[in-house]
Amino acid sequence: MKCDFIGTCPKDIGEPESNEDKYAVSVDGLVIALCDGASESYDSRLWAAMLAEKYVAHPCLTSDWVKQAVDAYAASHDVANMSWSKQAAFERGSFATLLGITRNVEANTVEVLAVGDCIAFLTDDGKLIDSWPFTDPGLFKQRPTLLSTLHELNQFASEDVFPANRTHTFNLEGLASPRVFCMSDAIGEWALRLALEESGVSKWDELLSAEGLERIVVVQRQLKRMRVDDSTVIALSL
Amino acid sequence: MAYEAQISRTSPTAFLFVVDQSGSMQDKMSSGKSKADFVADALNRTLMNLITRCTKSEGVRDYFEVGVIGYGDTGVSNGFSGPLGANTLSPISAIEQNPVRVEDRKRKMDDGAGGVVETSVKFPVWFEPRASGGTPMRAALTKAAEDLVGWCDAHPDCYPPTILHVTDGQSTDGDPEEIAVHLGQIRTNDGEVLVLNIHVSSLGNEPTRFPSDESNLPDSYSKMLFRMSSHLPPHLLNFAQEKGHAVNGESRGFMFNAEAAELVDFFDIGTRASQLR
Repeated sequence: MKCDFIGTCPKDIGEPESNEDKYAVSVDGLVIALCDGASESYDSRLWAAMLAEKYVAHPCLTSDWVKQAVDAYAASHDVANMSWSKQAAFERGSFATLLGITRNVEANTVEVLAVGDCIAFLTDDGKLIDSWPFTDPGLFKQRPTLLSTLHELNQFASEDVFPANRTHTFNLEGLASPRVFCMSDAIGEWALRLALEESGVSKWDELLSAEGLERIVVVQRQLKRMRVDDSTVIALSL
Repeated sequence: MAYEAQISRTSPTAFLFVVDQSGSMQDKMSSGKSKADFVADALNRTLMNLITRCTKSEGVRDYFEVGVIGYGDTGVSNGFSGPLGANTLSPISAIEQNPVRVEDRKRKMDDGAGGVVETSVKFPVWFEPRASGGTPMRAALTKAAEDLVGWCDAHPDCYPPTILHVTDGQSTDGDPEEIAVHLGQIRTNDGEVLVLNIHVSSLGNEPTRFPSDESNLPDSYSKMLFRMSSHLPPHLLNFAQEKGHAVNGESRGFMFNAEAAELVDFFDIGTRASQLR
């Protein structure tokens, strides 16, 4: 699995430091994670970064995995010495999505895990073949499931079906030049809608450079076809 | 589409609370607290929640400008004091920095082992309960209109301001309905000012929450407050639904004879402006 491009456009183009999308790549290059921190959070940048790093190091999501992540986040804050407002915001929690991509070379597949609304697309020769977790762009309007820094809000991770109910396999068999695109929700919603309108074609190749990504994001935001949100694209060839 | 402007530090929105401080607000609610005490508590809790929503690890982001107008025996006055008393609306970061005091309150929490443990939490106070004199509602809403005209002129593309008006009595300075009509005409390019009214009462009538017509309201006064209230835009209808309220496309931002706990809920729904950025 080769990473062809990683790029991101923040909500406010002039404030890259405010970007709450975070990603990580494993040392062997076989696992990628993209996490989108929620705006209404105390420190979603840190939470998203911690989740992405943890996933590429240990790509087996379980309820214990989630508990350990929450404990690590709590341990990184000195709550007792915070102001009342920071204490209250910390107690309200931080939230993020997690999209995990794992290459299985032997089976010639890609496993996709999605908690929340970051999306993975499988394309072949520039045409959309499959996507996860959504195939209908209307589903981006639903409130996404998010991993929280509050244990009590992660109960979905204790269900028997977890994480199988959030996992999907992209089968690469028979594909000539497969590629996987990982996107955070705003640009992912736009890309899925465009692909469905144009018989799967979309503008995949234009998203493979920083200039192309920024141009698309700026123009589509102006046209109100893309929500103003941090927009990240990771393109992988297989 | 209206009420869709994203809220950011460069494109904030405003919440203006208008609070009845007339003598009848001394009346007790079923909890034993006076209405004035309960409204003050709910308002302080709402201000804290608004600040919490804007607080990130690096500080408080000015997504909102917030103000409180009180009306009672001294006429119409700024509900805040100290540095916040100079302007009707202040950035949320200024509000965070200037509570009148921060109280230590007790809270019962799950101890994680099946028991309950009492912990101390900080409770900042900005707004003090007051209750005396008449009900100059018309003057208070006129003051709100004057301030919001200026705000909308200065923020033409922002999500429009929301007025959250709490009262338990009838206006003593004339008909407030025509002022509410004027309020509803003040707008940004994203929509008209939203006017939400809540009636806190010690009467025995069943509460009416977010009604879509006035036919079941008991008197002309409650019907007038209904007519003074804006239709809830879709995203507020969604929040109301998520909180278990039965609403439809015609529902208005009005509660009659609300119970104590519903006031915080009402404020929470009313301050759920569109997506924060």
